[in-house]
Amino acid sequence: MIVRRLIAAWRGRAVWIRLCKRYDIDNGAYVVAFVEDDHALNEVALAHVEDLIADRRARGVIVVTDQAWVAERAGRETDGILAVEVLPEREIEFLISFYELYQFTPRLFFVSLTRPSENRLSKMVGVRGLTLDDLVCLSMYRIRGWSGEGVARV
Amino acid sequence: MSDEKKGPLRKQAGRVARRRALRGKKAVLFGASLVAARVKKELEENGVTVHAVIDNDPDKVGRRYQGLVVQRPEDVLVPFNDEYVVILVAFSPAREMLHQLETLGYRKGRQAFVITPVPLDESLRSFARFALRAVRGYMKYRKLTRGRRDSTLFVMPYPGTGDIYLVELFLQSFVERQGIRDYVLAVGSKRCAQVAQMMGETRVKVTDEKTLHQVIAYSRFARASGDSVVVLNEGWAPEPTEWLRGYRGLNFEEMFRHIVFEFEDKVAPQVPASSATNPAVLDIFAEQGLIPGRTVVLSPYTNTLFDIPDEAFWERVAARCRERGLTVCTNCGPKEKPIAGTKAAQFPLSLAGDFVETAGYFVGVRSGFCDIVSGTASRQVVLYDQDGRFYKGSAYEYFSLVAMGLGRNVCELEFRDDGGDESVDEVIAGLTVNEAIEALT
Repeated sequence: MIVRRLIAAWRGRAVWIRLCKRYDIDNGAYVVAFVEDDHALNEVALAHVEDLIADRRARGVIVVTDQAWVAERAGRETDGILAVEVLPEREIEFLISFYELYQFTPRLFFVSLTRPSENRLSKMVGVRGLTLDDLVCLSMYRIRGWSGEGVARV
Repeated sequence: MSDEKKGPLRKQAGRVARRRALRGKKAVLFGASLVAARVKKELEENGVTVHAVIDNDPDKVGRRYQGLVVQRPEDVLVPFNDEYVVILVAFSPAREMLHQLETLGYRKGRQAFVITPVPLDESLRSFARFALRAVRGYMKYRKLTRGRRDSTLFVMPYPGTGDIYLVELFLQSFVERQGIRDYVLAVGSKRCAQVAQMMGETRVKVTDEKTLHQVIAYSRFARASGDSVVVLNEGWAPEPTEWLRGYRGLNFEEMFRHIVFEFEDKVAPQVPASSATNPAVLDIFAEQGLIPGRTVVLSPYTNTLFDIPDEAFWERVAARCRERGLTVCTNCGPKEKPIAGTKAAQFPLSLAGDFVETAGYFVGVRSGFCDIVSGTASRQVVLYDQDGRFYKGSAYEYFSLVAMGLGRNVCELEFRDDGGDESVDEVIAGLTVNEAIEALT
């Protein structure tokens, strides 16, 4: 079991290295992986891509997904999205496996309420009025200045 | 911060402090975090004075931190000043922050140095290291559960005693709801085990912190969590929920409730009963000449996340308590000195509730010890660092015992000692509020 998982993680590493080389990720770019077929969540996450870029003073974002509609929708967004990379579901799974082995980079974000493993954000929707915007900005994108109405800038 | 990370931090901070590039320069600490506070201390012990603290978090900018005011990176580092050396303290975002410094002209190894407990990247070396960790975690998991597949392993890697107290308030309800028949609770310190035992836990096992980290690494990687391994510390970094702490008023107890135990309804905490007639405690009182019901327990030394009042403050509190006819003792370990004019009170944590119940009064800085004694009938004053931040909230907002529904006799004060009598007056007023009410009625 663990050997199979390690092989998946190793393949995920190869996917990540490929993305880094292709998009020069370490030079101020970030990867946002849309791994769920959840329209509402994905819409919210796309809407806050610009907040992520502003918060990190980033060059831009690479959208990674296995879903055609996310790719199509992200492709229409021009500001800040440097590229859209459509990967097969298998490769997305490898990437998640690599991230579950250890958090190898701060430049990769997963748009999901349940993944990678031990992600319990789905339990927090509605608690104390928490919205999807809150969870995307604070937990997935880790925008520390997020206040619920917008992003406080230093 | 876990003990596992303290060692590497200490070594790295010492190594950076000895760098020639720091000589004659002003050190700027990048990151106003709990980890950075430890690094600042290490740097200072190695002769490096921290001139300024900077942080990207808008919630921290403008606040006091370790005797300095947190500033924006641009406010200190722009325009480029060769007199500054930036010491960057971070976990995974170190590369991001380094990139930020480089865009401002501060180059790694010359004007910028990184201190990070675990370097994380996609290199083959890192991959091998973490793969090995997961494999070791699997072996340790098998050992802890004695290979029994139907046994659930609860893991508490964080050594804080407040966390185990909170967990034990809800653990049996969780076990019943999940239909768990057999489990082992693995904790990383004897102190945690004592608290668990005080609360009636019989299936606790003490192991080293490193083992617990390995088991968690295995469980997350193998996706074994949920059925056989359950991590009982909330927001165990780097979980995505950590930045929800303090947001919209979410407090410590709610994070446990929703994230660790996934309770959707209100489950009553199982607060342990305390006794004022425990013979073991009464023996300590007799030995030390303390008067049951008329004693103040001071708790200035317990491990806490925030700045604490200095000794002079505690001496003033002790003197004022004595003036009111109370005997005063200090909850301290074998290597700690009691506050001047007070008796040393040393007892195992399993007796903490009974000890404070017997004493009648308690004053302490907010720490895990405050959770443990919060259910007693004694009058308690708990002090919070006024500038203490914990993620999205203040220390007080996040850790308030009253807000968590745990402190029925607790008076909570946000504290900043200016050396005057005002803060001591507040403590005494908090301690004697019951007497004041009685006098009025």
